[in-house]
Amino acid sequence: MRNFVSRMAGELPPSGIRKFFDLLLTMDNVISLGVGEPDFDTPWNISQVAISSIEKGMTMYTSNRGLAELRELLSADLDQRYHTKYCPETEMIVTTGVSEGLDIAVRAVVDPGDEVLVVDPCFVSYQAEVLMAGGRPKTLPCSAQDGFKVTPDVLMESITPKSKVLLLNFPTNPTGGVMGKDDLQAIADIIIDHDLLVISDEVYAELTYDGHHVSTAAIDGLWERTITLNGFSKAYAMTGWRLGYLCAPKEMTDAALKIHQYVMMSAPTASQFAGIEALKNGEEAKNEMIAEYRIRRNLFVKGLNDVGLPCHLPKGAFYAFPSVEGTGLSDEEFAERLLREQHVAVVPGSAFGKNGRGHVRTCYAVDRAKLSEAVRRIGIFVESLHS
Amino acid sequence: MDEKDTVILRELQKNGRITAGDIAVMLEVDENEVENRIAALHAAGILRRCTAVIDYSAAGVEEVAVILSLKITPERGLGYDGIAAQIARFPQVESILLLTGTYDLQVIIRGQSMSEVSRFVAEQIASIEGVRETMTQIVMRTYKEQGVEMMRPGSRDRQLITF
Ligand SMILES: Cc1ncc(COP(=O)(O)O)c(C=O)c1O
Repeated sequence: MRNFVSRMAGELPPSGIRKFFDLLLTMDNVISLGVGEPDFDTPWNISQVAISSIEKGMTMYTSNRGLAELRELLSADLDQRYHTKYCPETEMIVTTGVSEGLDIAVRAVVDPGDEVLVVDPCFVSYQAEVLMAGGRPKTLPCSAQDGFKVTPDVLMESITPKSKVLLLNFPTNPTGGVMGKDDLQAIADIIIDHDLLVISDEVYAELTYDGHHVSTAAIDGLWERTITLNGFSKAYAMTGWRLGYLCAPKEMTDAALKIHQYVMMSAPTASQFAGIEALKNGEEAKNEMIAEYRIRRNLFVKGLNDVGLPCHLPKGAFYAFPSVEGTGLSDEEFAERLLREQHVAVVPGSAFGKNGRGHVRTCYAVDRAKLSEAVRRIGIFVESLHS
Repeated sequence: MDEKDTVILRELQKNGRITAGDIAVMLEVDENEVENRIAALHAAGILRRCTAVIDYSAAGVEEVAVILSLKITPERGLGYDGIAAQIARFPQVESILLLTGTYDLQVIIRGQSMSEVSRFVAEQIASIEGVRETMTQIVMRTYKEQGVEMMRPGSRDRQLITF
């Protein structure tokens, strides 16, 4: 029998995170700082609305773009929060999570051979998404000294004549880096001069702890050349609902919509009703969760620094990205030994790109008691390396 | 009372054992400031006591609680306050609320056995002058107490498949 696996699938690198979790599954009493999702339940009013939508029999496909009411609410919400204007009828698609939004956005604009600039370290799906679309990922190195931002210099150095798309994700998974208005403005001219399109994954937008999130499309001259992705997973603790959205100028939305129609038809219907409730009556619960993440961030990052893992204070998302270089171990050795010896799971930074080396990603969306126990165990581990 | 005091109170309410140092890190202020604020909240009678929420049934400790509803004839000049104050002195009494509706006071009483609690109600409370009528209900199970859910379904372990 011949090998039926496509060349693309065969060559796609497996996620560095999954490999690591196989080991974890064989252990018990593990505190996992390894998964990137809220530990909260979805606020009950939101779940309740979805349940009752099912009870009322509203279980058919929705329009391909998603429920009109949801798009209208989203449009108003984006305008109010980030000062970006999108027409709910022509410039928005409700997607099956940001994951699908990312896929259809990349496939809508990338031709084989096109270069896509991705921040390094970045969310594990980005490079794979580009490869699946036949594009070529090119990394933009980001460093702790720059607060894991994209600086004009680094951007200039990375652009080549083949560059077509710049994939941004602020606040960033895995570093917690944030780009403010000035930071984005500083790269806007370069983006325009080199005629690049930006795909801006802003799924952590609401989890911005110091100041307000600035949306890429809100920067002068960038709206026309930006596809904005966002979703409900992180801010509303709704990872399992698979609900996101894509916003872009009409030509690009139309292109993405064709792909969305063929691969997904429409986002899950009950989830869309949940999304409507989240936007109408979810603000308070959301703000409480965000306030709690901020508190955990402060406690956790201080704890890491106290036990000897230097860590900058992340300004967004719910990840801390401490350096493990001082321990003399590589990030992979560190993560593996910490798991084996102290039963704390963290993800080696190199799973997110070359520039993640020497760091580990820790997710602090974990309850406080577990977080402080994790810090205690990390402390014992780091101590043991010195003696 | 400002926003920081509100956070301090909320944190103490969630966990009475939290340290001023931890609250300081959370609030991004220094520890002295937190200590001073806590002292001021105490002094002003806003922060009354930091206590524990205990699930005695989980510990296998026999304990009963009853909710006692009372109709009261208000006293001239004092209204309900005099009788409420008398009831409040008993250590068995956990809380007393003045309500609208059929009954005036709702009193929560805890004890080690049903006979102990019923003797207490009959001898100490029902005999107070001005108490016209009592209704006693036995608490069968506590689902939530002071904001703490006592019977969360087993821990929802997360699937380890996310990024
Ligand atoms: C940067 C980033 N984008 C997208 C996603 C996926 O989001 P969704 O659940 O909406 O598919 C994640 C999840 O971890 C993420 O970290």
